[in-house]
Amino acid sequence: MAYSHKQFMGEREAKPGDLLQGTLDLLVLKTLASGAMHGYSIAEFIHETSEDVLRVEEGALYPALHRLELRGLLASEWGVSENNRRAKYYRLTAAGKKQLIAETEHWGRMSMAIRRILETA
Amino acid sequence: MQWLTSIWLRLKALALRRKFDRDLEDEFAFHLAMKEQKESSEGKPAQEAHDSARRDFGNIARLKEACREMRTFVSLESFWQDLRFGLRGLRKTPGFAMVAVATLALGIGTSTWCFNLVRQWVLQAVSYPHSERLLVAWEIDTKKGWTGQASAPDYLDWREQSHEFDRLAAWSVRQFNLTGMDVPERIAGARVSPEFFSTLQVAPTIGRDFRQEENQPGKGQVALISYGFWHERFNSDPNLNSKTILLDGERYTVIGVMPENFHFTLMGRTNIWVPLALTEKERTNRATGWLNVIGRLKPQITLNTAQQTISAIAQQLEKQYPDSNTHSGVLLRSLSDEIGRNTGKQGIYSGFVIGICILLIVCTNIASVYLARALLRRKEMTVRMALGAQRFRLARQLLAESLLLIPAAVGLGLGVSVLGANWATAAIPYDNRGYLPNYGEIHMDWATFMYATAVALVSVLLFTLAPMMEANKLDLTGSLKEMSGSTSTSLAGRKMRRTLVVAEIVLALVVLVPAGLLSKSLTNRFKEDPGFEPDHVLTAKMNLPVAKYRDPAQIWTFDQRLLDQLRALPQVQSAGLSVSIPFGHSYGGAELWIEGRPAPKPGEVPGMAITSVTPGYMSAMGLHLVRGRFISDADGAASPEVIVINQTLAQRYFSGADPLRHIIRLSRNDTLPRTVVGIVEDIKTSGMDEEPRNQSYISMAQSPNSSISVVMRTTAEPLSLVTSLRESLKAIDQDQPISDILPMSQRISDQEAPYLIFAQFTGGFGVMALFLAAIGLYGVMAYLVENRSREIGIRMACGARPQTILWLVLSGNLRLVATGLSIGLVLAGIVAQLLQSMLYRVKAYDPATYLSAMALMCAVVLLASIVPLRRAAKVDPMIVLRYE
Repeated sequence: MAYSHKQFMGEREAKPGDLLQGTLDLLVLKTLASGAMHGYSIAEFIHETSEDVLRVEEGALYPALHRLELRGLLASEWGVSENNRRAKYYRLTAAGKKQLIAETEHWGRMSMAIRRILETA
Repeated sequence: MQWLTSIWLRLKALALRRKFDRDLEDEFAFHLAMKEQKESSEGKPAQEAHDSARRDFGNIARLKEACREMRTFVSLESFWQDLRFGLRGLRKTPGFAMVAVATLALGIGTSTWCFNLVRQWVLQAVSYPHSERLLVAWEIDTKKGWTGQASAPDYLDWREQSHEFDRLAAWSVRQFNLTGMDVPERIAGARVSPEFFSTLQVAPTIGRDFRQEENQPGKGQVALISYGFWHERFNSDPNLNSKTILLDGERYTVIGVMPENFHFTLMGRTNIWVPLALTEKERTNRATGWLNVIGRLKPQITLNTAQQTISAIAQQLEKQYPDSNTHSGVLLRSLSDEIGRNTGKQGIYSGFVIGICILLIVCTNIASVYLARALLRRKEMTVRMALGAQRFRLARQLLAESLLLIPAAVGLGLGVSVLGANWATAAIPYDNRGYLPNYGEIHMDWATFMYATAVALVSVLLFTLAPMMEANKLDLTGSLKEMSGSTSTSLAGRKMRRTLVVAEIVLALVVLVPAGLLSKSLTNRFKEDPGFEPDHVLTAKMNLPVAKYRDPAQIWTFDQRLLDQLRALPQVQSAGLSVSIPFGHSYGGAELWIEGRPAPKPGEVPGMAITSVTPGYMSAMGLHLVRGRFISDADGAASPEVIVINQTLAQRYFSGADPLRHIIRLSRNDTLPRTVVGIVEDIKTSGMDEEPRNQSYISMAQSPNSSISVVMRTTAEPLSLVTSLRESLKAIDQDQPISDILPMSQRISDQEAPYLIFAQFTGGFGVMALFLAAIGLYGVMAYLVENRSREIGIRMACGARPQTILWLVLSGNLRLVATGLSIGLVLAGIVAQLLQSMLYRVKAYDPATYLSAMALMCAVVLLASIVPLRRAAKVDPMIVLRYE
């Protein structure tokens, strides 16, 4: 049957070459490693920390947050923001922390490999 | 465990859909607000900041959809759509839905009922610990193969000399007169050897078991009572100290109460157990068998090993005591086997097979209906498939529709099985139920529910999906072409239709043949003459306590006073007493020694059933006199001893000669010669299927007995005399209980009840099977005819006669019918074999029954073909041709 488990659950598989999704997940996990944040500040944090190089689109950020939550890597709860508004805060779960370590390592190897290829050329 | 979290969050989102949407909106709104705030703090005008934030954010609705979809079970929701679509479909064709649910419920109900019967009456019938090691031992006549109870010395020798048993216990059921309470009562109980309960590994819940030293005459005045009796008589008082009961006028100390669920089915309903405490006379009498023996094998000892040892012991006893033990062996049988025989295990198993057949007929019908529907919708399906719909999705949609039938079918089916179970329990006479596991009741439990649901799921899935798949196994161009009408008959489903026709015939035969055999057997039983006149006869049973009625003269005085009282009643034509009555407690036996004949060899002494009767008994029971006279007032204690014999005995041992005035003795050393004074017709005493046997009657005045059956021939309805009977007795002895007050005709019908019930059961199933198969075959045939309507139209237009066309259609199916009939006959024969023991004067392969079942099936096929054919033949050929 052409139905995979994920498809049944309504997730879409990442298209091949779609590096960005995995990368965004990693960045989000890393950002939340320092503590709970809401969506807006996550985007701002990545934007500022990358010195304005990386800009996270809202259209990508929120599906990523929800997906990570569904996978159990993030937990969320409603809280009050710095300007007294209701905001949804995300934080890493134990599984999320493990995933962050694993993915950081993976990313390290990948970027090294890519650099090596680029340098030989 | 991540998937668990994931499912939990999804479920939450599904359940709290509104809240989830609101949260999503809030989350985005917060983001927008923050962004707007930032941009305006960077100096942008308010309106521009608002717009730019929104522009950057992109399509909010799509984002929301993306997040929401992530959380939901998309397939589940579309399946929900399918269900609703299916429901609409069913609502559009309520007739179809109702018929489908009703037949499914019938199939599920019958098979669930049979499943419960098998499970609760056979599989779970024996519930003692390690019951696989329990067995019963019968004394067996090695020459004739008859089994019977063991004599006390034989039992003691088996127990003494064998080493294969942990325990070997004996029991004998008996009735007690319970007095000292408000109303005297006869109560069922048993004498058991002290190891009886520990053999079963059951201990009293309160108090203690019997001790060995209580197993002696004079010391055995202790009793164990049933839980129900304890509850009823002692108000469940746990303090048994100095609790006593009066049994047969003697005081017994209650030493324990058996557990609430204790039920030894071979004993029937029993409330009181006392130690066996064999008397000296019982201990030495090897000639009379009266003990039932139950044993527990030591671990690792097989039934076969034990059988060999105990057979060797029996052979030793045969040599040692040739007078009593010639041809007497031992037969061991596992307890579950023994109980299975009593319950009618084979009958229940064949009932289960029949129930499954009914279910399968229902399934076949459903398959055929679904095939037709699937073919009807083939055009729709083809178009949808051509437009790119997935096959899986289409199948799922069809499946959803049939799944909707399940809850209703299961619910109704369980209802049917409850009705069936209640009917069965109510139909079984109360006393007989005591011998059935669970007291003849069938309970609905989780296993029942699971079974019904599983059966429903499997039958619906299999028998609706298969035809759909079959119908949709098509190449698109072919069926699209077909739609244009260029070919008139479709190949799809034709093979399946053939299978369905064969299956219907096979299954119906498997149900019809046993039904036919059993009803024939029942008719044979009903046709039998019991040999007496059971109508307008009231019977009852009592036991005079030895403590009160010590000598024969006292008993005889009681007998006469009672008879005088009864005969004085205006509605009583005649009244008599007897030790045994037909269809009551079993008859005693005696040996037959005819004076002047050479003595028979040991082990070949003929036996006969014997009972002593008072004057008036024979006319009250309506025995038919052949020659001579009945037992009369002339046969008093002081007169010469007399005996009345039955026709079979007369024919067997006096071949042609006149038996009257011959002398008969009841044993080799019998000092009382009895003169034959009369010959009566044979009577049935234990069942209408009883073979003719030697029967004899002696005068009660000459041998009074404390065990008495009362027989009254009445002019009024027999049961209307119950009160008069009780009052007559009370006038003589107010402590004397009387029980088993039953019209004679009811005794017979109670005895015959299992056969009647089973015949009704299979007969009902037979009618159901015939009806269902007829519907099913009609459906298939109608479709086949409809499919050929164009051809028929052309033939009619060319002048073909209706008979020719009927033959044309039928001959095409002849092979199918023949296949179905032959497979069906073989399978029916196998099921009928299981029933052999229930059949009376009918062979399991009775040709007439098989032939009539076949003829019936052929008639059904013919009828199922003629009706649609006539309709087809009536249509104007031009219309058919134009329609195409």
